[in-house]
Amino acid sequence: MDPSEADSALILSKCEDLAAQLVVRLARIDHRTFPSPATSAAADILSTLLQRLQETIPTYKSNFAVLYTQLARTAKLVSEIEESAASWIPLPLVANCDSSWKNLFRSVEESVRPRVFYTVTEHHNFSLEDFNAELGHLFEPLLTAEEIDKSFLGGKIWHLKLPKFEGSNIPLFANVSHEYGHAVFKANERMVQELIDETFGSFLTGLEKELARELEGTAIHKFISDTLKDFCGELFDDAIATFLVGPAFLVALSEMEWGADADAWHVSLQSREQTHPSVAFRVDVITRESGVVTFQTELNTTLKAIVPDVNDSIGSVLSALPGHEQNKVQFVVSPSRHVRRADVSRVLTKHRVVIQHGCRAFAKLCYQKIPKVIVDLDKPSKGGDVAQLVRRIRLGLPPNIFPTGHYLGKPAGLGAILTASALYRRALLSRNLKAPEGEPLVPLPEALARVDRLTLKALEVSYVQSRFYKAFPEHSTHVST
Amino acid sequence: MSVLSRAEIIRRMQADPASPERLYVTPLLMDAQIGPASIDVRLGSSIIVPKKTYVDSHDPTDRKAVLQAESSLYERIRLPYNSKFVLHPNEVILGVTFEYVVTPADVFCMIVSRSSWGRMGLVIATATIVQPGFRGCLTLELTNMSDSPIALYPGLPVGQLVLMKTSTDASKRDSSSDLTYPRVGRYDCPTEAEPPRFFPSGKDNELEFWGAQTESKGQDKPMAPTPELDLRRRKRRGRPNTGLAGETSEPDRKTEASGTPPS
Repeated sequence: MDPSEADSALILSKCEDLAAQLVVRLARIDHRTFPSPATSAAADILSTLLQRLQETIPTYKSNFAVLYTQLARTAKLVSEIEESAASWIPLPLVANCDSSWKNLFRSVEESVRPRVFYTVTEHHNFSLEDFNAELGHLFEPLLTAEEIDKSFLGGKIWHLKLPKFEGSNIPLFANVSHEYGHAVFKANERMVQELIDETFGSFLTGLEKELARELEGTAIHKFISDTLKDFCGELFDDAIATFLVGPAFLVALSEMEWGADADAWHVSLQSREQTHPSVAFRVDVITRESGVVTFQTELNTTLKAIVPDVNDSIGSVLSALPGHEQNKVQFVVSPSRHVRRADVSRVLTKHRVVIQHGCRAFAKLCYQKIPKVIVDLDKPSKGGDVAQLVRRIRLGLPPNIFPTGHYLGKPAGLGAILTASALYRRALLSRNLKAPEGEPLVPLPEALARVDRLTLKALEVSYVQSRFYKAFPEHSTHVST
Repeated sequence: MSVLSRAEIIRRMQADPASPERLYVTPLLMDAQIGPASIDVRLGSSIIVPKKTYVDSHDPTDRKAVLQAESSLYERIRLPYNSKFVLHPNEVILGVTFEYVVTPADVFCMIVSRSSWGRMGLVIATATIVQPGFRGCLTLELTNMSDSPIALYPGLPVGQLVLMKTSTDASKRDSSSDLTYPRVGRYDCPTEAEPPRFFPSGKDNELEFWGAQTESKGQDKPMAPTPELDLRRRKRRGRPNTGLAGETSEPDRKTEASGTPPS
């Protein structure tokens, strides 16, 4: 039932008041507390659109309930931006993440290079959203698409949400690199689609013929095609993450999925962001394609030599991750009441071997193609170097320096620091790690807090040191590779 | 006790990590930070600014207040690099060193201002001593003693460490029960500016002994009245003196004002 004219006038007044309040709230945020300049840009764009909306509200004639609902959703976004102050999001982490982001898009001209800003969320998940599209959903049809696009000045902004709950669990933020993969996927969608066609093209052609005789076969074929694209998208993002942060991503990925069924491939027929291969399969693919075996061998060899008392507990972290078995695969299709759920599940299960092989072949192509497309990736961390950082954590030092024989050392990179910290933290959680000789046993929460403090310090100082040596290379005592 | 020279500092910084003589000051950005007998250290990005609150005084003997102090008395700020913080005249804030320091069991350390900054009126440390076996970033008490505001930026080399060898052998541990190397002291591997920490677990119990003895301090029973306290109570209630030793018809104002502890 439509609201009466009197009620509509009341709703309209309330909307006007709400829009005004949101503009004031955005204006009151101290931009110096934002973790990155992109957050400031996002806040300014949102404020511009709200002010434009304020001007149009008095003449608004359409569905006022929609207007109010959209404003309520916008209020939620304003709250997220208010809470994205640096006290919640560690600056050293953001500085390193921003640096990785710039490397991913270095070939793009700076004026049109996509930017990313960070907010915290109550959800226990990392997610990357297209902020241009996000504002489009909030303000259309209240404003025109042209007005909304104009506020972005031709730029592209991504919105990365970080779980508030895990604020001090620094190694978990390796998952940020997977989210960055979504942006890279979008920027290289044509190339990725070619890889998907190369891998699954003939399978999908055959499937189309197979389903042609079925009722709604075309719809089922479309769902399967989208699902395969989403599986491939996740594997592509995993590959980007592995190139950015190395084995730290493996540990972070498995931690985010604790408690879930490691063999379940999730397929959502409503929300495509929720479709992904199983954790076990993803870990298996990364392990085979990204040199983790070599890394682990080097890690264990060096640990045995320099910190023999932690060798087993740290060296076993990667090998204890979920293992994949082909015949244990099951597809979990949701929502349970979707009209196509049973058909999609049937087809996926029937062709599960082909699907797994195809995904594996696609991943292999990704690991070959990505270094050619993104040319400024750092070299992957070596197991021996990470072992040196593990020793530093063991000695109560920040894992910020690789030893070079000179006391200045060489600053460690983001991936190496996160990997060393992730391995040490996981070993602590497993309660297999004894206290260093001569030191009292520290309770687990304090030991974890210590590792997180040291990791954050390492991220800060190694980033500063790297920047310093770029500005003053004469002070560096190592050769940058 | 002798001051470590540049050669000795470098020797210790390049010693084997397993060596008890190993010294860490990390990261150093340039060789020139090591002087003839000191190491220049830089300002880090973490600062703590005291807040103006309803609290009438810092009372380190009040356990409950101390444990709540961090949120009510101090504000933590993380300064981005290349951003300015202005320290106003007579203002005191807590900063931290950019470098992380580990001192061996036979090395004692003092942190002092570099002379250029001292001449501007900046004092970087009022608590200058770093004990052997310390592990962490050093909290700096930054005070502007001049009449002009001073602009500070993270990364600036504002202080210097002077290291001195003690009479202890680095490889031997002190026979005292709680002195081990490295020390797990009051501040465990701090990496940010740290506010005062009274009453960490199991420590500083004596502070309460020296403080005012009232029910509001969370004691189970009020202390037995002292002669002075009892006199004041009786006077308020209009009761006669009892003739207890030390009692006078008028309260001793000097004793009252000074809060002389009970005998």
